[in-house]
Amino acid sequence: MSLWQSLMQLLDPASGREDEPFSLGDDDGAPAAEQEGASRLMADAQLRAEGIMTHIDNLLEAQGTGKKGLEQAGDLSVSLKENTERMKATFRMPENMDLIVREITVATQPPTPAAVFFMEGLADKTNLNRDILGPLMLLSHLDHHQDGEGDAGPTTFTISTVVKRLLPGHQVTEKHDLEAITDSLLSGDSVLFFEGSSTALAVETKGFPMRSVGEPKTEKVIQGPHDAFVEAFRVNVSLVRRRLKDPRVITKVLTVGQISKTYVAVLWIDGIATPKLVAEVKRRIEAVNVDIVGGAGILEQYIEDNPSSLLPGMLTTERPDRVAAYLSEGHVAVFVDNSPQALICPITFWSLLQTAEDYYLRFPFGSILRFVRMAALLVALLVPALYIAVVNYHPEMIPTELMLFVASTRENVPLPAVVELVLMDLAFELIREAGTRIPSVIGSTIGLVASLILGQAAVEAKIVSPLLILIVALTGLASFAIPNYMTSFGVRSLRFMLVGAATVLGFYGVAAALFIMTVHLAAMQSFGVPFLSPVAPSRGGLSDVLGRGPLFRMEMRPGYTHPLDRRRQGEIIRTWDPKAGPAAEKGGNS
Amino acid sequence: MKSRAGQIGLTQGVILVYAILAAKLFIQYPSFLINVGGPAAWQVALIMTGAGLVLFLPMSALARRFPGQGLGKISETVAGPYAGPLLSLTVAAWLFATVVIGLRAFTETFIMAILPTTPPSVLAIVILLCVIYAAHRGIEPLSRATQMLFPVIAAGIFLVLLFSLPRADASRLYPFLGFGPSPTISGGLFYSGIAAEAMVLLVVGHAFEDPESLHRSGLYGILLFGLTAAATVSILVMIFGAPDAAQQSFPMFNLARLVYLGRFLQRTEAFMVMFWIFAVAVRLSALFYAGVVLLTEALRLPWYRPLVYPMAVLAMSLSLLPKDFVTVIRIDRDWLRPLGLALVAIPVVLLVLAAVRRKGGETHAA
Repeated sequence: MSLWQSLMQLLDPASGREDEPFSLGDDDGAPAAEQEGASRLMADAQLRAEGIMTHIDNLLEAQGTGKKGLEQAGDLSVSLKENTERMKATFRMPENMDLIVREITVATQPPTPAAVFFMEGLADKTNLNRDILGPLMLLSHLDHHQDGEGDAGPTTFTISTVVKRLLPGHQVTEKHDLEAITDSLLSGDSVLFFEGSSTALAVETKGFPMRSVGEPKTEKVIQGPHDAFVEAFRVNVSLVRRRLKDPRVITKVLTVGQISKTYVAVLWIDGIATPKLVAEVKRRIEAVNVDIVGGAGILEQYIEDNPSSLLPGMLTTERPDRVAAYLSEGHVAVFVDNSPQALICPITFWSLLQTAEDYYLRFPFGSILRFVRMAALLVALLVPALYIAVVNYHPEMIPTELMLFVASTRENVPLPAVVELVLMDLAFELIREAGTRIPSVIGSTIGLVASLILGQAAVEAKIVSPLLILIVALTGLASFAIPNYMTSFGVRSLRFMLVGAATVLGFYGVAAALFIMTVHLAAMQSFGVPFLSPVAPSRGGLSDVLGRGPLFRMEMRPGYTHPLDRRRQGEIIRTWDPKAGPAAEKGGNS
Repeated sequence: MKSRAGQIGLTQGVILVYAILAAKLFIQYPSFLINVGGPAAWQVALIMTGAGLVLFLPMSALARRFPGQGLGKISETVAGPYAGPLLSLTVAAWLFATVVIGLRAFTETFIMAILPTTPPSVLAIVILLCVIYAAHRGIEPLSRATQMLFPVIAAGIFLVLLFSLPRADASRLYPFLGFGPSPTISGGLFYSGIAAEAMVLLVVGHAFEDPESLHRSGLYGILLFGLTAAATVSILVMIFGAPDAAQQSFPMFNLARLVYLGRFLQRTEAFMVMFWIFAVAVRLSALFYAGVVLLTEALRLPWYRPLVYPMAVLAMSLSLLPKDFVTVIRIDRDWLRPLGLALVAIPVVLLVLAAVRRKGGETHAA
């Protein structure tokens, strides 16, 4: 637009009025939108009505063919054209371009028109060409022996001939109604319709892009396997199955979400996991009635016992070895498709402080690791609150020299101790959050620089005292020593509450807050298991809770999951050992 | 009636009784014992324990006769629809009074000990919040929490006693018989009302796994407390001497103040008091919960929770009524202790009535 034109437009009274900007909630469009909605509803209803009519027809026809015949009478028509039209309408073709229809003729005697449906991007094309189109179009004219008969001749068309002779796909299922067909199309299968048949065939051709099995991101170990779950739940289940070669391992696949139709796999070992627990897990998952379930973290919020608690009610892990170990103890694992984490239930508070590595090390070191983490929990939770309580209310508790030093460092700082602490804690949280979000190449540098410079500068600017930097750094470090990500979050939030309590009431406030927290923890349950068991209520078998006892002495599975079979292994594992084996018992050891 | 089996087992029961009773050691209770027994206060504690154990037996007998039932249900079954609730109300009133007096006594202790300038009502409200939350959650979470906190509570008692040992002088325990056998024995019997606090177990009998664990919880809990009390009073006498110790309002706190283990470990009393708060919160919560549950059953209400908040407000207001700490001590020693002793008669009466009216028991299962 030239300068002159713009000038003219400014002067033109007609063009002074700006066009209405686009708005979704515009009133003008409302009747049209409503009309549009109504017409879509009508179209859907018509589609459904056609389906129901066909279904009734099929049922009438199937009368007298027995139960199986009635079950197989779906809502598909015998006319290929009708079925194709209904499929296209269901998938909103031609506007929707993802559904591909390939019309072919099966070279049987007589030649039968057919249509192959598949979803672009979900079905594997090599499979489709080699195992479906090729055999049906090219090879079906070859002489085949008819089923049950010995005579040779040109192949006549029946569904069972196609399934048994013509389709080399490894998983072929007969489908009789549109809804099931839609579901299998959307999960990557290819579906075949034939002229003259009200049965469709779904051939497994799933092939969508997928990340390969990689290393765990948050549960790294030094000793032990390094594989982690990926986004495809089938791969995840196979990673677990590779570790549990037992036919009693059961995978039950449920579908959750009206739009997402997410696969949710529930894994348990029949004969170990108590059926009551399995039924409860399935009941909760089946009750989830939402439009989409995006991943394990979302499903967890729908099915855990205490969604508002600061501690998780299910254990999230990305390690197949942990899932296998938990399954073997009678827990239930839940995989959500598109989520590289498994959910384990029920859990206890103590399992949030454990890692896979504890078991790969010899038991004294495993125990030491757990004690270190327990100490980290206490430090992360209590140290800032205790510091505030001591500095504000009970300075006499610190030995005199130290107190003088603390006082001299705090002398220059104009802020109250609690403000200093909260400021530094906020800065720490900022560094943590920024460090997580920025690209990993510069992430560690930024984190290091930010923490070093912030701390140093804050001390030199006399905003905080050096002792406080020490405390914040210590608690920050301790909170990252807690292995479970969600727990670490929870502990950091609880820490702020305790600091608040300590500010107002000193040790008294800290004690009261701790008491309430303990009662809260004691009242929590995870799938019917008290959160603090097996310590409180004590159910025995403490060797694998606070510390980590020798593996060869863990003869029983933990009792809190009420496994059907308590015994994990024999009484004496190291039978060859003259000090521990039967030899020792024979030698007069009672 | 019962929807599921109780979950409190032996360990939890023992710890619960122990925590309920041991919290008393942090206020003027040890002084009471030293007051009546002098240098022989530990004998008073032992006699009190023995008598307390005997007095607990009717309660556990009652619990065995009516397994899976609480005191409220039992008294209604045994004493009928009018006398039964009346008996329950009596017990509930005593439990409630104990909570009120305990609330005030502990508030005074904490003001003296760690927060001298804070208004008493603030401290009372805070601990009452703990009590309300615990009572709201119920006895099973409370007993689990107590089990978790037990190491800390025990450390709060035994570390103080242990660290005080270097200053102890065993010669202060003489004369061995104190003021003579007769005041010792009568004093021991007078304070054997500790069994009345163990009645909390009977009130929440429905929450126990089985009557046997209730029985043993009570006995072991009282026994452990008796031994701890005996150790506490002996060490108090060994350090302060009987006349001095008998006059202290906060003997245990004074003991904690004296702890001096080198330059680094001194003046830790504020830290110890933090541990005591756990025991105090457990004691008050358990007694309060038991009182509220009993009241609910006596009034035949379907659910106890709506009563928690009003009763807590009532406890708060009543606890501020005594005009000073001396009044609180006097009410505790001259009214609550004897009444507690008298209260132990209720299970005996119920047991006799049950035998006479052939209620309960295995052959006459209710």
